[in-house]
Amino acid sequence: METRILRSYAGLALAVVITVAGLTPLIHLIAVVAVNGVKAISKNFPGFFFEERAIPGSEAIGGVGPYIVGTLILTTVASLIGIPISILAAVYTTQSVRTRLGPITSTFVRTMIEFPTIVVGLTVYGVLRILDLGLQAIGLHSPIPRFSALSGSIALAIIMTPFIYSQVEVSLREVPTHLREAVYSLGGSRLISSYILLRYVKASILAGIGIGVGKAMGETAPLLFTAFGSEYYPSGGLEALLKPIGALTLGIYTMALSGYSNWVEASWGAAFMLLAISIALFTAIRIISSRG
Amino acid sequence: MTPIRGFLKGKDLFGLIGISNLAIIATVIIIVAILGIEGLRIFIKEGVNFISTSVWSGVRERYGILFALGGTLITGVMAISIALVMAVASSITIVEILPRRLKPLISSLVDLSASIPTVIYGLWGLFVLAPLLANIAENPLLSALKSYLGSPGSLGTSLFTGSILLSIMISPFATAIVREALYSVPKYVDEALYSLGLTRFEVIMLKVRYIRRAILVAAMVAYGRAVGETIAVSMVVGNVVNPEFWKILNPGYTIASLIADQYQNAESYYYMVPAIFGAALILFAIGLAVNIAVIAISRGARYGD
Repeated sequence: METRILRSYAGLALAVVITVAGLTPLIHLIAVVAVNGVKAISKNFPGFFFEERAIPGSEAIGGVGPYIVGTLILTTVASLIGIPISILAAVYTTQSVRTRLGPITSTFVRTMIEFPTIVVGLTVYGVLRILDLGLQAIGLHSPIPRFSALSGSIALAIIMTPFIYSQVEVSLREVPTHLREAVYSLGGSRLISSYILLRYVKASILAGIGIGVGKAMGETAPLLFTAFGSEYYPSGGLEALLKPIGALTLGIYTMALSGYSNWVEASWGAAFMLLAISIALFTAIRIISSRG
Repeated sequence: MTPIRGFLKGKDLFGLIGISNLAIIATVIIIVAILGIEGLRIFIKEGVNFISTSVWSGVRERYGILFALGGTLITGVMAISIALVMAVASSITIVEILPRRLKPLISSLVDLSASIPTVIYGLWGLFVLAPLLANIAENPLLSALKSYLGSPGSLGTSLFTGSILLSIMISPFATAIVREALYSVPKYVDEALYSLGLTRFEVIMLKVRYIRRAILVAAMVAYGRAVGETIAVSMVVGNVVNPEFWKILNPGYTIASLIADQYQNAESYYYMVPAIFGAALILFAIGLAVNIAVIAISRGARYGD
């Protein structure tokens, strides 16, 4: 009997120890990024937020201004494409009757959510490359260059869509039947009824959008073959969408691997910004969904 | 009411939003088709050599990704082995041990770690984890095994470093699944087990056995994550063509990191783009197999057998 009780305590203790060991890297990561990031940013404050990358190997820390703008542009354009499509599709899936389109969409979305993000970026690149090669044969160019802000945004839109779709679909399905019937009985069109139902689940849709946009904003891999990266501010108005563009994530990736100590330092600063944004977004989503 | 008036009143517009559904379906089909079309070109050129040899040379136009395939499988298996232990232990801690008030806090921390951008894990892995593991590798015991295990790159980058970083990154996904399964074990099971006079740990271990199917699903989901993870692995794995991929302390490649590493020179060689797509096709096939396994496992009874 004694040994069984002892063994029980030992087992419980072991579980706690492993859990603590598992959480240690996370705490350490947050601490290291915060310390190194704040140190880097304070070396060139507030210039870090709007200056361009410094000369490699120099003393200057430079800034990540173009990367911030790039991330904003990529995320915004991706959201403009991805959010409406995923919400409308989820509305159609939950509100349509007698068609197989809805269930088929849900199956495809479940596949889509599992696509490695590098594969998504690569295929966007592949489609645009084939389009360009085909059009070149008749003396034209693809309207969307494969290395451009727009192609990066398309890749990010594809990545955020399944997350938003799934969340909206689940929340619309969870609307109680009596409420659904009440809305239908108002006699409005299906579009108007759907709109009312969407407003009812507003909080959870907001959370879904937050998850999707957050995912897209933190992605690096799908941008390699699409947005490609750039150290300069985008210029030329809307034309900028057709040129390669940088992003915070891409900037961290290239600067960290560059081997230049001032770039590595700047990448810690950029990582701190990105980490702060993603923790803030995570907290906001938690608060919104706990209210909804 | 005429159809036109109905249309204007928005009555028949509803069908129009089905276009979004078609767009999503078309996107998935196009992604799979382009992988197939571009990827097949390398299989036509290289045949089985593409997955059975270890060579990546644009200059000679020879491509075989066995080294990356091996790297992917080995890092994935090591990562889930560690991640599963983490997932089961932290689920037990969260569900069974922690006081009620601490549960949401620790749960949130685990979930938060799933939402941190992977490039930040990569940065931490490159400058914190890799040097740490390099020091461990210099330990006399391990350096004696050098001929079996290899030795890491100058920054401490290796397949082993990649596996450890992966395990840290995927364990929150596994934990989420195991945790929910453990929560949903019915109360009467607990009561029945305790009434047999079992100790707390014995009850917990029986409950863990009870949810073993969910643990298997968690392993598969986490493996799917690990296989597709690109940037963080690419930053710590060394990016070296390493035909002896079983020597895990050597730097190497995974399929995903190979693809990511080639983005700047892909178009410089005639067959490199198809070779990259071929690699992506293999990656996709592994992911698909894992997914089918997940569906097959979770189709069965939810608990036990």
